[in-house]
Amino acid sequence: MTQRMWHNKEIKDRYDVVIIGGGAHGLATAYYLAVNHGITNVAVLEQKFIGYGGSGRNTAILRSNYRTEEGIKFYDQALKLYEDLAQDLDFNLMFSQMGHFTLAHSTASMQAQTTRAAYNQACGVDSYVLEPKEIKEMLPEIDITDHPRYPIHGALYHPPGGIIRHDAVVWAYARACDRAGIHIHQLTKMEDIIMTDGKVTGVVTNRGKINCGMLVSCVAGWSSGICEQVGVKLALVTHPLQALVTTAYKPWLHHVVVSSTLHIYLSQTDRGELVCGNGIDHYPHYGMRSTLSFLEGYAAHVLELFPILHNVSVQRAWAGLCDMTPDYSPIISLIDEVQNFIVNCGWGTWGFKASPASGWNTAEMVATGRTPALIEPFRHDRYIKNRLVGEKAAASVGN
Amino acid sequence: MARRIQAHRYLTLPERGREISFKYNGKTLTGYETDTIASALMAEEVKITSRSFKYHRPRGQFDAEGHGPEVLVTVDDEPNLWADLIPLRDGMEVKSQNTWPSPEFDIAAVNQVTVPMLPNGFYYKMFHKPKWVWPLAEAQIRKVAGLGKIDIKGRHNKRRYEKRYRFPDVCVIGGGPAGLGAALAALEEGKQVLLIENRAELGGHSLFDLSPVSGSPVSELNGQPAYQAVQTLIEELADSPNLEVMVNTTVFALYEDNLVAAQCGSDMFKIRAESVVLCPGATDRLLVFENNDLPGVISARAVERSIARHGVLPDEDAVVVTTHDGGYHTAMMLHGAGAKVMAVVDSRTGNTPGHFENQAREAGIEIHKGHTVHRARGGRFVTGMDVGSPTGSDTTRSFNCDLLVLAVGFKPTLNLLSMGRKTPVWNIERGILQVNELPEHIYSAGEVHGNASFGRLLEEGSTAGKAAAQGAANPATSRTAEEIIAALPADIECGGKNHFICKCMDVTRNEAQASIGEGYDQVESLKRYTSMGMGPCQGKSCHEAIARLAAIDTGLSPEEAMPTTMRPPFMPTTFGILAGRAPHLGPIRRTAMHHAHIDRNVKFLDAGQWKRPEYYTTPEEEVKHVRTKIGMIDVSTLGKIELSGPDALDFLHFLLPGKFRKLAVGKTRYSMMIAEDGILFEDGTLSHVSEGRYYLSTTTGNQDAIMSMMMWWLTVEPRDVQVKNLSGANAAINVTGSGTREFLQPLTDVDLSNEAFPYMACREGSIAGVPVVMFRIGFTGELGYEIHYPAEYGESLWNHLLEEGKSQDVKPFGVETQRILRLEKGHLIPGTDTDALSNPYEAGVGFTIKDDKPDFLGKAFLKDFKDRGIKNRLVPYVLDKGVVIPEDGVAVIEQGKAVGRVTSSRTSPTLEQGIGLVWLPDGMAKTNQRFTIRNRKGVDTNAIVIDHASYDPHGERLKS
Repeated sequence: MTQRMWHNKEIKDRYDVVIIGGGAHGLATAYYLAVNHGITNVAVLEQKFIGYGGSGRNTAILRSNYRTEEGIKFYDQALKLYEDLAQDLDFNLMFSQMGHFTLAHSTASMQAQTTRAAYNQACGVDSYVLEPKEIKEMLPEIDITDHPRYPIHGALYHPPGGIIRHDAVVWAYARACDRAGIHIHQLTKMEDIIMTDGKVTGVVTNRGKINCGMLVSCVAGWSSGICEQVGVKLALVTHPLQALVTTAYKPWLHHVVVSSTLHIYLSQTDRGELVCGNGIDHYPHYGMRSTLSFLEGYAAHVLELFPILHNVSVQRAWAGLCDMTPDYSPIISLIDEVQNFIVNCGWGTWGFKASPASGWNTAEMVATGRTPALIEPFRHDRYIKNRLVGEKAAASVGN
Repeated sequence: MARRIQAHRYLTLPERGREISFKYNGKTLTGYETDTIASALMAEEVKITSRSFKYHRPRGQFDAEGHGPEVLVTVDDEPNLWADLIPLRDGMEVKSQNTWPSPEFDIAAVNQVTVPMLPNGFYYKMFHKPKWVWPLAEAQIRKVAGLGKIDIKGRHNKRRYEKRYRFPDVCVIGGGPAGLGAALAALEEGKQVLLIENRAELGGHSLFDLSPVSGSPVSELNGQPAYQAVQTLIEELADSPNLEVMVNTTVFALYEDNLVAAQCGSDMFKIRAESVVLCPGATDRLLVFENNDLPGVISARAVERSIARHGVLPDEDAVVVTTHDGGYHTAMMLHGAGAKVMAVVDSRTGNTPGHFENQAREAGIEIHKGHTVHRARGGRFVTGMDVGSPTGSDTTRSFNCDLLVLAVGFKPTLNLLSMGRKTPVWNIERGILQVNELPEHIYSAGEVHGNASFGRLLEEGSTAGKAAAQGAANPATSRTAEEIIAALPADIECGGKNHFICKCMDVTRNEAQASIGEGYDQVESLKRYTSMGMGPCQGKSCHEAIARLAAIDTGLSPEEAMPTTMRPPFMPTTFGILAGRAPHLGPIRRTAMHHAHIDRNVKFLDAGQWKRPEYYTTPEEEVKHVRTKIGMIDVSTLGKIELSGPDALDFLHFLLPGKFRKLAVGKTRYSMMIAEDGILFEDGTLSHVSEGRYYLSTTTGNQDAIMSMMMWWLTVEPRDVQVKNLSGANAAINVTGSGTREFLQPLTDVDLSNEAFPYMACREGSIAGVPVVMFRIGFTGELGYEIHYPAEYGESLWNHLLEEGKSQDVKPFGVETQRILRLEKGHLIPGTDTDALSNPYEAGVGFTIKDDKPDFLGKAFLKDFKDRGIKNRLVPYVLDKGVVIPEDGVAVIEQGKAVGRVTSSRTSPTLEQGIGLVWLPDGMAKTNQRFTIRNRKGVDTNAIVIDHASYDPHGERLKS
């Protein structure tokens, strides 16, 4: 008989650690608390079902070819953990390291990709720049002529990048948590945070009050609202990001293709669907609905790259929330003003690929009460002290 | 065409039209112009139309609604199309999918034998240990995945896609009885009405409804059979001048503010209507039992439509499974067409017989009450079936039939009502999922609220249409007890082998139950784990069955077992349709001199939306020409913003980091622009052209951003300033080179002498009768004048100058040439040599920041940057002669670490050596410091920091 992945348990009066948010970040944090630090009196609260938020809405792309040393090292830890995660969790996460292209459509973008390659290589990350004809050899159907509105000048290629079965990451972490004795409470919405003398002591949920020693918020797009309850204002603006999937076709594309000029993320799953992501919507919004202009714009742009896709059809479009920070880097931080509270947010469009490293380091922060060196740059007070991370430099040179 | 019938006992068959031929898997078949591909295949006795996604099980036509995956075909190289929606055309080439060599003899069908080995979630539990197995396994999986093939030779520009627009008062979606009623009522209110139907003809399911009409608001229809009454109604509508009817048009999405997106052929329609009335109807419910996916298991309405509209009898020996009188209607339809109706199996016990049940009894059809289907039997298609009690597993009766018809209630087509806005909820009383709260100005009527008679649907539509026309509230709907019965399903309680819930992804009820047992006990998790509802139909076939059965199998109440979210598009829609004719939505901007450049064999480059000359001959040749003679460049793409009004100076003081109170009329000053976060993002010049009139020039890339930034600040903190964006209205030319003064002086009334018109000054005047503003500024390092003038003279003045300059060898040069010229001078370009981290102090332009003035953009951050001190610097460098030039963007390597980066790197034709700009740590940014640049190929090059610009370091040429 099949074993249950996780169990629905009675809520205890008190946990050492309560984690809000049953996505990849929250569950990974709980998992590493158990395996790295032996802390298992932990509950993960999820308002809907595990994987409801960004973990189940992203385009499942993993990579570590960031622009700054702090970014590269952090995401490379995540990528390395992902490479062994299927073995560690005994669940096939279907990670295909199919290789990742970041296309450049201007001299400025080629310059930016060249810099990324140089910094990646200096940090030991496999990443290099390709000329258009080299791209064409690997992606025979791509249009490298000067016919498109913004012809391709070259690309940054990142061989270890690829796609993973995103929901499976959530489930596998959840199962491992359950087996370690951690409680996962779905359909459990946190309604209020209980504070005593500047310390968080518990939470009120739709299923009653829970006391805790430490509260960790891993709610990404919903972070502003949660942190407001303890009077912490975050440098976050939540924007929707839309994505779509086509019907299944015989697999034809065996790499991840990204173009920030065209707002295109494109890959083909093992089922044959093309998974397509866009840039964020330009307006802040919490609504997770899609628009016609997204479909029209994406279609027009993807045909610039791959004219053969004109009769490929979109079968579903959706949206997720992106908690954007000014420097395109996360916030994983203790909060000076509020004790026993850790925020893990600011995941914008770069969250899913960070999940294992995010969980690993957040767990260490919970266990030791100190900020691990790798995530020192991601403290939330950097916005007050004007010590921003340089990832915006890579993201802002899209065109 | 063995399955064509010539006559029907209870109805008149429609005209079939012309006979046409088409190809199916290479074989030539025939059909009629009124056929769909599916009806023609059915007439030709093609029973197996496809193989299933995972197990390659044989599949045949099920609902004729364009929902199910069974009839996905490739038509003329376009994959994944629904054969039951597409009208048959002469010569069309139809191919089945996911099958080889044919659906009848499919090699991969061996998967069926291995079914027990491939339970749901199988992939998650296999192939990951040891680690090297997965890439190999994945390669094999990818070989067999997917449905249709992408035509890799296909090109969108061979096909013409159009976008079209409509703005009706009332848009009615669905041309069945409710939709017709809504359209009629809105027309009566004097509205412009657009009626959209996704099939080839209006009428919906009433086209094959034999029931006599009663209770119709149009009284003359009462007593007629519905299939005739609906034709009368359609004919009546045909003459309405205020009505537009679109058939074969699929509404694929409904967005906020009544934006209706529809597809017809290669056209996409974008419709904005004051009111939208949704009458999408309902389709036969999917019943889940053993082998419910075999070809020969078919929905009641598919049978009725096939007989009544196409004159095709699906098969000979039929059993109808039903829960309501509609099943008897289907039986009579079959009986009238000459089929042998072996039995009607009715899950109800002892109720009052309905209209068609009585007819069936009179026709001598065997009736089994209190029974439902337990399994279909057969290998490649149905050869028999077993029936028994709905509550037990014992088979009480078997039939050897080839057609198993399901008339087990209806599921409303809720997608357009829901679409990510409102999740459907169970209406327990009516036994259906429903969406009740619709946004303002969206109405709904008809079978989407539950089954009802023709007359009642017409009336309901009419009421909704009237409300839509008047902008009134959405009227409530009601259903009678008899109508509600028609909605109830007839599931047997036990799950078993091959009970398919989701036919797209091949998921059985056993697998769903096992997954629930594993913990995926919420409908959304269950969907993600099993992939149920994630196939081409996106739940249109199975959504209702998933919600219904998940509630039973999880033990959740129907309220808790929330069905999964319905999202656009309703029908898969191609990228070609969505993109339309525009390959790219960004416009191309061309300067007024664009064609003059083309005449000189220019090479263009893309600068944002603009096309700019990159060079005409070679950059090296052009650089040398400017350094020795005279060159001119089209700089029309610069941003050109004029500010005036009482608060203009005040506004500029807030916007820019400099001080301009002492900027006299006729003077120009270089200025940076700083973003709110203290980052250097733009540079330009500010000129005081005439008293109180300031002229700001910006770079090409940032002009729109700066314009919107100004508008934003003027909205947030209103000031009395007029801002005129002259970027498009003015053309501009920069003429530069040591002989420029002598060349231009005879052509203009402006005194160009160094005393009258010094460096960093501006003058108004004319050249060849064209009014101009001239700025003595220079980016190239040579004496230069920038001439701004009305764009309508753009090409003529450009040509005039070139013509007049022939004797002095005046030649045009491009942007790449200018980049080299400025690099020889060590000038930075924001965005090229700086990025989102660069502050002006480190970039070496701190002299433009006057931080002793009151608040201005970025002030607080600039102070912080200043206090923190310089960490990195942007400095010029040179390479040894003959060294390979590194690429822009490469890193500076110090002890194996990347410590800096080269932003611009070129060969200087003037100095004949490599030059560039580089970001270095402050400690290394010292004159004569040597450092190592590693190029893209990993080759290291030595470079030396230099003090000043490598060319004319003291600007003597510029100011002469």
